[in-house]
Amino acid sequence: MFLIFIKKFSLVLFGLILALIVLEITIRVLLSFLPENLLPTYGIYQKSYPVVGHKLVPNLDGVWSREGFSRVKTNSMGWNDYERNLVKPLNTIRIAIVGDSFIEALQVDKSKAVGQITEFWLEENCNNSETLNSNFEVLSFGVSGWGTSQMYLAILDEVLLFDPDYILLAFFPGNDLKNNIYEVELNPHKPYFEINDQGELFLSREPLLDNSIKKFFYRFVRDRSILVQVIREPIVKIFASNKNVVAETISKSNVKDDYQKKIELIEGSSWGKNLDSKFVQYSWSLTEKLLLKTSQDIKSHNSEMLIMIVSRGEIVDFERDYVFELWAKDQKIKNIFYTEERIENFGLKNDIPVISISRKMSAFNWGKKFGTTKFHGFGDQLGHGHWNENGHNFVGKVVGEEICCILYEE
Amino acid sequence: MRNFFLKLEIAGDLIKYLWKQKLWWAIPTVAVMLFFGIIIVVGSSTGIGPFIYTLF
Repeated sequence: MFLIFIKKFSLVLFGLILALIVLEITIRVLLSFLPENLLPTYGIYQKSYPVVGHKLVPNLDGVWSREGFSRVKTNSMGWNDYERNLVKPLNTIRIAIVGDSFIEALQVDKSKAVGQITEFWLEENCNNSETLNSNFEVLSFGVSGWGTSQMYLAILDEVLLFDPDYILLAFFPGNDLKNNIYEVELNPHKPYFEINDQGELFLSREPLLDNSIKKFFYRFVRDRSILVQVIREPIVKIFASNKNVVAETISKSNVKDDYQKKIELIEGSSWGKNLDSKFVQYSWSLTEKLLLKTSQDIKSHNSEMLIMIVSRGEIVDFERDYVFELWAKDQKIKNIFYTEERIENFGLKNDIPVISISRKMSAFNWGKKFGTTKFHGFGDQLGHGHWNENGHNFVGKVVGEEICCILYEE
Repeated sequence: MRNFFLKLEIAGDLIKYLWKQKLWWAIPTVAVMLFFGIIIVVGSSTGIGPFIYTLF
């Protein structure tokens, strides 16, 4: 009886292993033959880090097709950028762009992302005078999901090691305010700042490292199996693991009602809504204090900070009449450039140059007689989401022009 | 959806047949294929917000 059971069990185990091997080989063969538009996302992951919370894994080689398409190769320091040397080459002006998924730019090829476009533009247009005979290097430090606090810590911990002359901090009004606040983010794997009674910033939460044995085992298998990498995408989609972390934290901390209220408040805050709420006032105050502290610390390292306010497709990719007469009225938004105005005033007050991409893109599109250029989104989602190639190209040129102006003024 | 359940029924019949024929090694093979098939089909049709990128 026992022998029969062992025999059956061995056969079942053999069948299981055989099926997995066949699937693994089939997927590997398919991935090398499939056309680009059919390739799934695989081989791209973030990892837990002590200071910044999370970042891409170094030396990844994968495909991104969730939105847009690119073959991704991260460098040895875990950035979606070319390999960079810590030592700045002689006679070179270095610019670092720090931001979230817009700067990480997984949606387009690295050569067409904002960093490379800016570098190319500066080399072509800002390098032709006797007063300014320098080379340019533009380094990209972007990670999806980052807020201002993570950008600040990354600048101190890594970016300044590259000795940049200028640091461009990309602020995305769509979620950066939310990303800075633990009560609405509820992700323990990220660092958070708060303001104390004296009105000073302090690091209130260090990121929890995600290095459990379960995760270690999963990563071990994932790094060796294309099958696991490919099915990981639909699994993430089904279970949306980030939302699960939030749901788990809510149930543990019993703050469900308060959480929903705060989410609603903060989602409107970047459009200038709910400004009488203390929570919204605190969120803005925290973000501005973070921006100011970042600028001060950058200055103390003989570098200069610029703020770039990232555009939103809902505004800049559509006709002016539609945006003002239909969309903004429907959303009950009185000032579609509230964040731009607020950060521009903050920049003026604190002597920090601010580049508002929405203003430039909307001026470009609303000056056209017919139609608009879509700077955001891909396929049937044009006008929504991250920058596409048009967006990166436009922003790269705008950033190049601004930096060139600053260089000549100096 | 109806089509999907019809296909599941076919897969169920196949597993029943393999069980009767005592093809023990073939049962997990079919089950694994079925499992991955369902994951891929269901996962592809579920929407995810454009700014929510969970990469862990």
